[in-house]
Amino acid sequence: MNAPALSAHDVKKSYWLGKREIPILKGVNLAVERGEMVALLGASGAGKSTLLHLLGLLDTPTSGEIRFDGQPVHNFKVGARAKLRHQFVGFVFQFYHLIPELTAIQNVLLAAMMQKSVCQYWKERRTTRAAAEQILDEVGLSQRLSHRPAELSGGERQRVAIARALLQNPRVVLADEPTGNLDSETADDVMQMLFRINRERQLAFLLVTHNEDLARKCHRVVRLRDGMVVG
Amino acid sequence: MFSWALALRYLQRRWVNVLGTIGVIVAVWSLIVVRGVFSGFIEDIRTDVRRSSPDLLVTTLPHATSFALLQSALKNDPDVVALAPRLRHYGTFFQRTGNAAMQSIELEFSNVDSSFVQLVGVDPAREREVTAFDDWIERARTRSLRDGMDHSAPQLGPELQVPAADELRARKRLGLAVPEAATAFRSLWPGILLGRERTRFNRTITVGTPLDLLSVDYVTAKDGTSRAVTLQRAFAFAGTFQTGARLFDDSVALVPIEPLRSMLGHDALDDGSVDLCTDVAVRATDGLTIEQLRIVAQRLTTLARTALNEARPGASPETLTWEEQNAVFLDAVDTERAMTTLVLFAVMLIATFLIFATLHMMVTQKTKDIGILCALGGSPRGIGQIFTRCGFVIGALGVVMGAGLGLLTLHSLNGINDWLFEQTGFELFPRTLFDLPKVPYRIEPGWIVAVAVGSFLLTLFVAWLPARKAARMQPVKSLSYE
Ligand SMILES: Nc1ncnc2c1ncn2[C@@H]1O[C@H](COP(=O)(O)OP(=O)(O)OP(=O)(O)O)[C@@H](O)[C@H]1O
Ligand SMILES: [Mg+2]
Repeated sequence: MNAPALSAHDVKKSYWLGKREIPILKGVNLAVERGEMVALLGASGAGKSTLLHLLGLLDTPTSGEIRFDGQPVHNFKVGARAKLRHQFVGFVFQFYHLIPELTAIQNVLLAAMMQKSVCQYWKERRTTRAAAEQILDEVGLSQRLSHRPAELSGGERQRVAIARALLQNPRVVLADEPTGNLDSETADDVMQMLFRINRERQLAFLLVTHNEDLARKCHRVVRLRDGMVVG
Repeated sequence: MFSWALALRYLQRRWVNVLGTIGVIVAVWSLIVVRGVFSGFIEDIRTDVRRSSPDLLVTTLPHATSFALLQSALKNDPDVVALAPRLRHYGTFFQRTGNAAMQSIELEFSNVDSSFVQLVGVDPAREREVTAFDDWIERARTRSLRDGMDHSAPQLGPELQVPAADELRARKRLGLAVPEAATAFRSLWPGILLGRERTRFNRTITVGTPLDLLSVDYVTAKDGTSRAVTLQRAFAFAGTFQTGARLFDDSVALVPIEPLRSMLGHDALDDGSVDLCTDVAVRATDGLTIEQLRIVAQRLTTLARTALNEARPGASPETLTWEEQNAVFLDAVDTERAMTTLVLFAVMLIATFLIFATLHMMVTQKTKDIGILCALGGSPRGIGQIFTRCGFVIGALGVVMGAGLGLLTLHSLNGINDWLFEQTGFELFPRTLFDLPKVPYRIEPGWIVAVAVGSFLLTLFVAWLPARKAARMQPVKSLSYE
């Protein structure tokens, strides 16, 4: 019952360049407890994004285990992995990654559509929309519901992306340099918001960042060095 | 759900996809309209060909075959209702005018620009039992009247003679010898019936106008040597006929069989003459299907062969159904339709290729979106469905609109044709060429369903290819795609 929300056990990941093996992760052990906010630091190219992708089941480790709530999940089939990812994990990326054709609210609603049939979705459309509006309000975008990504500032875009990650009430948010593309003031705002969400929702965060100050504000800091997690 | 939402949104934002839809519309539309008109024409042509031909024709008979001989053999078949002799020969005509012979009876408005005719000698009394002989003449008459012309003699004798008064008038006009008392005059020239198109624009020909028939025959002397002899005989133009089958109407001249037999050396009054025939036209029991007719044909062939071989061994007669008699022509039209359809299928292929290209481009453009959708928990299946659903929408729209437009076009085909003609003087479907009051068309539900379902499946298939590519993308690679 007290298993960490998300954990990696001796996770290794290599890429192959032709016949040459390039080990990126060489046995990562990491656990993120419920409600915990963990900062992941590491040099560029250390493999932080790679680790995040593995933890979010977007990629499969060369060896080792990924566990959600203590259950090993890394060797599930594609469809099952997609479903788990949908329920369990929210992703936030450095470059927002919104769908340009959709408005802010549609981008958020998209998260609710991923695993539902048209009928299911139609039945729940009112509550889903209300939830999406509420979350957008929470991130301070209640006035921007029907703007397209191109009509939003960088900070606003990232807020939409965060709202999208939150809509399905995930257990863990995996954020890959969420403020890396924002000026320091906007970045501060966004970080304040993330801390608030962490507190209010008791949501676990694994936050990749290059900012030591920011990392220190988190509950715990881990570093990725030479393909291993240290302290 | 997301695949529907995104498919519609992507399409809405990408008007290039309209090209694919238009392509499918055009292809489906043309497949339905062109095929519909073609089938209409073919049906008309088949009706005309059917009208011009006897149910069965016993043919490939040996030289100097007697009709009476075959008749007694064939009439015993239970499915034979009536029999008529046919004597085919070839010749050319000259129309006598007041001063000089006109350069033959030319076809002025036809593909057969020739003064040669196939002479078909018929026994009118028997012929009308077997074919729609009277109808052929009646059709030509009503149509000539419509054109403001009358090339028809209402009363034709058993030898197709024109009324004596008509011949007398023609003789007087040409300055030929006539009896003192006109009442004593009897027709001397056998009549000849020409296809309506031959005389359609000939204002100098009237009923009774003499036509000099020139022909050639091979005669074998007693010592075994044979030589060609020229034959000549005057006929009186007795009117026109029209079966509706252009090939038949343009090439055939109908003459009474007895004068033709006489020309070929078998005058009925001579001793030892033969009631010559080259074919026997057969009317079979009404309502037989083409398969049943084929069976009757086999029986008749056997009967004819037995009868002929008793007299002279070695004969190999054939019996052709009305379809087989016109096989070359009917097959040609069918082939033409098949070829046109094939070309239109190429249009369909191009349309679907267009869809493939636009969707494929879309998958490449949307690589990053695909990565995001994976991160949000989209399954590869669902991601592929975005693109198959784009194909579904394009195909469904194209097929429904194409089929709708096609049916609408067929229904208002004559209206469109008339309107175009009035506005521009241009006739899309030149009806006069085919002598049809209306542009024929035929709506074949089977064909329309096949085209609709086929095009739709084809669109789904070409959409499936890029969809598969999208579904197989590695999410991590898509996310970092530049
Ligand atoms: N598909 C791939 N094939 C080969 N090598 C790869 C592939 N993807 C990533 N790498 C390599 O793995 C290493 C780790 O990449 P990763 O993106 O995880 O780094 P990172 O720690 O996130 O860096 P940054 O802070 O710059 O984002 C890099 O050296 C990169 O070159
Ligand atoms: Mg990175």
